Amino acid sequence: MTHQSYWENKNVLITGGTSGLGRALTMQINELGSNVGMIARTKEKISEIEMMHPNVIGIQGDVSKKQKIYPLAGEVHSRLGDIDILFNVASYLGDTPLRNLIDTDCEDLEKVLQTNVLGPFRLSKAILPAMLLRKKGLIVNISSDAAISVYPTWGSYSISKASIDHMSKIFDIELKAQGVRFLSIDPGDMNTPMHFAAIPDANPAELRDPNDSAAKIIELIVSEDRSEVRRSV
Amino acid sequence: MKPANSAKRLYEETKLLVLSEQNKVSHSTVNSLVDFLDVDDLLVVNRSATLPASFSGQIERTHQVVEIRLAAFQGPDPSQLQNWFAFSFGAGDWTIPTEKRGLPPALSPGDRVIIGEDLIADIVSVQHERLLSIRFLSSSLQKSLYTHGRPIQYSYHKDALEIWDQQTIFSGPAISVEPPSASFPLTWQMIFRLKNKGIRLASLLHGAGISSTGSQYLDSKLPLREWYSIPSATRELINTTKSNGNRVVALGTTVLRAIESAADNGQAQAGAGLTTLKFSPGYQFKTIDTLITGMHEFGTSHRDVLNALCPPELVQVGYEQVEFHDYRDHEYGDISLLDCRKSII
Repeated sequence: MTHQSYWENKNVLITGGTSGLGRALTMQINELGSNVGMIARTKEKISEIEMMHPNVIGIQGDVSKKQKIYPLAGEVHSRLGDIDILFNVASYLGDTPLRNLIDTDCEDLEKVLQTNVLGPFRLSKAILPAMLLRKKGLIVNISSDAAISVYPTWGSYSISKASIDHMSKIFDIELKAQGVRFLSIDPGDMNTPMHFAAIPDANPAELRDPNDSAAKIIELIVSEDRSEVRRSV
Repeated sequence: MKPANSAKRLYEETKLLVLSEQNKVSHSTVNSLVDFLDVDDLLVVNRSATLPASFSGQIERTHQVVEIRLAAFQGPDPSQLQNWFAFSFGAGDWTIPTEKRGLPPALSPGDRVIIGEDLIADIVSVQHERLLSIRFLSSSLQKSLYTHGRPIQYSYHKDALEIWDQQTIFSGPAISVEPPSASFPLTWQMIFRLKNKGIRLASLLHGAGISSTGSQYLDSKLPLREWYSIPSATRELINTTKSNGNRVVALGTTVLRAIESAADNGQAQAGAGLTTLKFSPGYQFKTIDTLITGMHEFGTSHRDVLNALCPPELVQVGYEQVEFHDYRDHEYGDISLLDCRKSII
C-alpha cells in the first residue's frame, strides 16, 4: 500500500502538535491527505500552524487536565468526526534541571504522570468508543528508550514512559480482537526543545531531526506490522 | 422507588427487571443480560455523548439573569450545534426541585441572552410559556458550550455532577442534553460477552432531550422534536435481523424513537432527520422487538413507552414488584428489559 492511499481521508488526531515530533507528524500526515486535528496548549502556536496548513484543525487544550478531556473530545467529534488514528505525543519531562528520584517532588512526578500517562489514558477512553463501534482504529503512544533503560535523574519521565508502554500492551491485548490496535513507539533521541531542556549541552549533530522520526513512524504504521506493540524507529 | 442519588455506577450488579412473553415478571442483574438475548439478535445503541447543557446568562434587553437549559438538538448535524429547543428557568439552581423554581423573566423573539463574551443565545421564537427556540452565536461554539455549560441535573442528586458522570461507554458526538442513560450499567466487557455469544451490535446517533421541566403542562409536551441519524450499516443489520426472524433490541428509548421514526413499510431506513414520534398503548411497532430502559416515575412519557411495548397490566405488576425489591429509579438507577412483543401481537 502506498503512503498516500493509506492516509488519504483518514481522520487523524495528534496531541502536542505544535512542536517537535507532534508538529512533524501533523505536517507530514496532513501532506499525505489525512484530515488532521491537532491539540496543543498555546493558541498562538496553533494559529501559526493553521496559517501554514489551513486544512489542519487546531484545538486548544491541555490533555493533562481531567476537566478538559470531554470538552476536547466533544470538539474533536464535532469538528473532525470519528477518529481513525490517535497519536498521543504531548509529553512533559518534569522540572529541570532533572534530579535524582530521591530529590524529585511528589507533585512533579504527579504532573509528569498526568501529562504522559493519565492524559493519554483519558483521551484514549474518550476516543475509543467510536473505534470499537466501527471495529477499527489505531492508537499510537510515544515512548522513549528511557522506558526500558535506566538513566539517573530521568526518573519521573522513565516511570511515565514505562507505564505508557505497559498501558499500550494491555489495551492492545484486550482490544485487538475488536479491531483496535495500539503501538508504543520510541522515536529516538531527537533535536527537540524537550531534549535540550533535559540535556542543555547535547550535541545537535548527534540528535535526529523530528521530521526523520515522524517519517519512520508513518512508514511503520503503513506497513501494518502489528506483531509487537513496543517499537523503535 | 428510591432515586439513585449518586452518579456512582454499579455496573454488573445493577438490578434488571425483566417483563417477558407469557406475561412473566422476573428479577435479575445486568450481569445476566447475555442470558436474555439470543444468537443473531441485534443490540442497537445510541452513541451520542452529553453536553453540559445548563447555561446562566443575562438578558441583554432587561439585564435580568436567567438559566437556559437546552432541551433538544435541532440539527442539521453534529458539526453545527447552533439550533436548539430550550427552556428558561427562574431563580435557583439544580438543588431546588424544578417545580419549585420561580418563574423566569419574560423572553421575546429577538431577545439575546449573554452567556459569556464568546457565547450568545439568540431567542428565535417562544413556543409555549418557557419553551424557546434558540440559536447560538459564537465564533468558537464547540469550545464555548463546554466553557460555560454545566450538566443538567435535578434535586434528587446528592452532589454536583461532573461532565464525565454523564457520558456512556459509547459516547461520541455530543448532541444529547441529558445522558442516554440505559447504557450506564454496561461495560465493554459485557458487550464483548454479548458479541462472543453471537449477538450483533450496531449504533446510531440520537440527541436525547430534557426529561423534566418543572411544569406538568410543559412535561406533557415531552419528548420534544429530536434529531437523529441512522448509518446505512445499522440499517442493513436491522433489516437482516428482521428478515431472519431475530430480535432488534433497543438500548434506551432514544434508540427506540429513532429506529421507529425511520421505519417505512417494515424496513429500517438510513439517514438523518427530526422526529416527533410519541408512543402510546396500542402503538404498532414496525421494527423494534425488545427494549432495555431505565426505571422512571409513574406519569411520565416513559411509562407510555413501556405500556406500548408490554401489556399495561404487566408493566403495573412489574413496577409494583420493584418496590419490594429495592430498585432505584432515575438515570443512575436500575434498568428493565421489555420483551413482550410476541405475547401482545
